[in-house]
Amino acid sequence: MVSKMVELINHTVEEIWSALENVKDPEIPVLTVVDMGIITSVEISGSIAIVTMTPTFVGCPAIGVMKKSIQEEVSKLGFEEVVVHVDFETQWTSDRMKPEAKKQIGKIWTSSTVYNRW
Amino acid sequence: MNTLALKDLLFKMADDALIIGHRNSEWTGIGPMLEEDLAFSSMSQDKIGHAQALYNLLHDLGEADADTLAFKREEKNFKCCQFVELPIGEYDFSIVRQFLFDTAELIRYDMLTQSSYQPLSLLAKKVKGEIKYHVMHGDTFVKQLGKGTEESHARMQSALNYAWPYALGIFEKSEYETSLLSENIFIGEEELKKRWLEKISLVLESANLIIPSIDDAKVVYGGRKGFHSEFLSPLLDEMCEVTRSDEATAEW
Repeated sequence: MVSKMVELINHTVEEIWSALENVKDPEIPVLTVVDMGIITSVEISGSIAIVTMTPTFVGCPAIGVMKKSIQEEVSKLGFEEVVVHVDFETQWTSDRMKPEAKKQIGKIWTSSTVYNRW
Repeated sequence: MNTLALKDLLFKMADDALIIGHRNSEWTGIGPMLEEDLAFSSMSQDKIGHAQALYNLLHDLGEADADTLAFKREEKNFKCCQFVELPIGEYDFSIVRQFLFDTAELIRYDMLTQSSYQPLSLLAKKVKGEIKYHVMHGDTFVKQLGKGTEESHARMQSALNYAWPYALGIFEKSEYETSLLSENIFIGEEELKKRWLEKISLVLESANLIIPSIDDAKVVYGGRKGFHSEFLSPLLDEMCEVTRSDEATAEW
């Protein structure tokens, strides 16, 4: 029990960010949720990890899948609970994407998709 | 905060978005060109997403979950305006409706970015950024077809004449206008209508289209109070068919 507690306390938000780099955006599986800039905050409260994300657009059908993947991936670090909030406090724009992700996405998406989403 | 007033506002906005989203999705696969298939489909997806987000806000205020609100309510409990219920008709009508409705939506959400109810103002900021593109779409085609050929112009004017009494029904006042205003939740339908008329007049003028002059008595009200056109019931039957086929035991 004690060793488990120590293990939990030792976790850092950086480790959670690293774990999130394993979560792909299901619509663009070459990119992760971190590349896309949809994670807006990561916190640790005792043995609970709290991840906040914001959708690229309100009706994004991939949100449910991403929430589940985030929970699975972050849980592997040993947290008792992983809470994923979805909100609009910080809003997504393409400026939140990593520069290399922007380059990559430019090769993939058609102009009509870009027109309607950005 | 007057929760009844807030819920009434959220219900009418959500129901408008859901029903117009459903209607516009009917263009998927039958648009006059592929780009329009995509545009209408994409706008529909956005609208249904907006409906879901608004139903989620209602859920946070103690109402049922989003799916129940969308698929398991009786027709009389829907608060959408009759304008969004009308069948898609010909492409001219669908474009005119999309232009008139989305211009009102853009102004409504712009006003709501100042709402005292923070969950709504945050959502409005996000939605506004999406509807901006819907309005660009509507403006472009209204101008193009209004100034196109003699036939396209005539068809657009005729569609506008038909749409007009229904479009004004968007702004049917609720019994909560005063509360919404005094609590800074929403500035109100009258102000929205005023700003909408200013905006659409500019576009229609440059499209050589004339705003019909009609008697107030001809404006189609009722939707906001649960009185709907003959077209809503069949739409709901179709929309809810799968959910209703196994309400008791199905898990989706």
